[in-house]
Amino acid sequence: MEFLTWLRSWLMRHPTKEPTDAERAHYTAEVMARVRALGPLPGGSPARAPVRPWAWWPRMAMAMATAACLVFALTSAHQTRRQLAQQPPGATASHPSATMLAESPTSDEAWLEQTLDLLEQIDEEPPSAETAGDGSNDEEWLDELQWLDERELSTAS
Amino acid sequence: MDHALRHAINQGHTEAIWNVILPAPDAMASDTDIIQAVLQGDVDRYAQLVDKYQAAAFRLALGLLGNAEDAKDASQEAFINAYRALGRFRGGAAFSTWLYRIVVNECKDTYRQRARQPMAVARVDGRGADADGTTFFVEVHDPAATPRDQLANRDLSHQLTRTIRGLPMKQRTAFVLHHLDGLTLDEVAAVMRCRVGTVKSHIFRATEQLRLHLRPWLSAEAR
Repeated sequence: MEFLTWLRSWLMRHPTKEPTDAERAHYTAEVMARVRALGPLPGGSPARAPVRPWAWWPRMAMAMATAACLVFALTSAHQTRRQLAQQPPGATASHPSATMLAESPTSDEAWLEQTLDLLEQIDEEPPSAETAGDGSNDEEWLDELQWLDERELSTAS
Repeated sequence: MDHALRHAINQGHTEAIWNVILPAPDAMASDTDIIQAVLQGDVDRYAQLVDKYQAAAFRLALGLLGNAEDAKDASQEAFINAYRALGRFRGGAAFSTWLYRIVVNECKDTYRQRARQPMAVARVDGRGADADGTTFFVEVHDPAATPRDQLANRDLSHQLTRTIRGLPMKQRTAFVLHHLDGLTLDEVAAVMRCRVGTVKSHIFRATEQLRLHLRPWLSAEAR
């Protein structure tokens, strides 16, 4: 015999307890005594109209919007995790300053090349090890000053 | 219980059960009419709702609490709370569903209070209560039954009451509303504010527990 069928049939023969008529009258009297003590309800407005449920399309729109937000959030999180997973351990190249630091040797070389190119374009030679600091330029410069001074003196006289 | 009520319960039609058990004092007045009258100041009309639904409210509270005195107090308190909140009843669901929900909440509060308190006084009732005050859900006194059957019924009622009382509150609520009070699954879901699938799950688990604990009686009857 199926259990629920048996239980139902047993409950049919042994119904659940209910208050007797006398108990019911007493029960109602007790409740109403307390209700009367509370008095009429404030406002006294009639029962409002039944709440009208939303139509199907706002429900569907809300559901789709919620689903789209959920998918977007999940996709963004997944992409971020994948990007982080693809980087070598310890690498922080995603940060701009970190990128500059990581590429600084290459940048210095490029800067040097660019500077040399510019100097070449304006016909200026970079200081070489042969001429730098040996004093030959200073002598020429002093000779030139001396020649200028003598010329000025001769002109003045 | 008369034949019409047995038939209504057997068919599982809640409305038919209400109509048989609880004929409205004023058959022409719907619940909404009564509520409107009460809200407009005719407080005495509320007695009609109390008369109409007190048996159902008491039965539900008894099923959830397992104690007649607590069930009476909780169901009466539910009627008072329902009266206080009557202005907020919007009519989206039936008044009975709304009232059931209040009864369930009141029973939960009572259950929590009782759980914090030690068992006060042990009461012994030869017919309808256990030594610790647990009231049987069903009428076990049957003069027509043999003494042996009466004893078996009493044992079964005791075990049924104990098992239902031992269920988690949600399973207990779903089982009592559906199988003892005769509400449909949709109505139970409305009272418990959950999905029908959840109600089915609660009822299934509760039934499995009952099947486990009542197996000896089922086997005995099958023999």
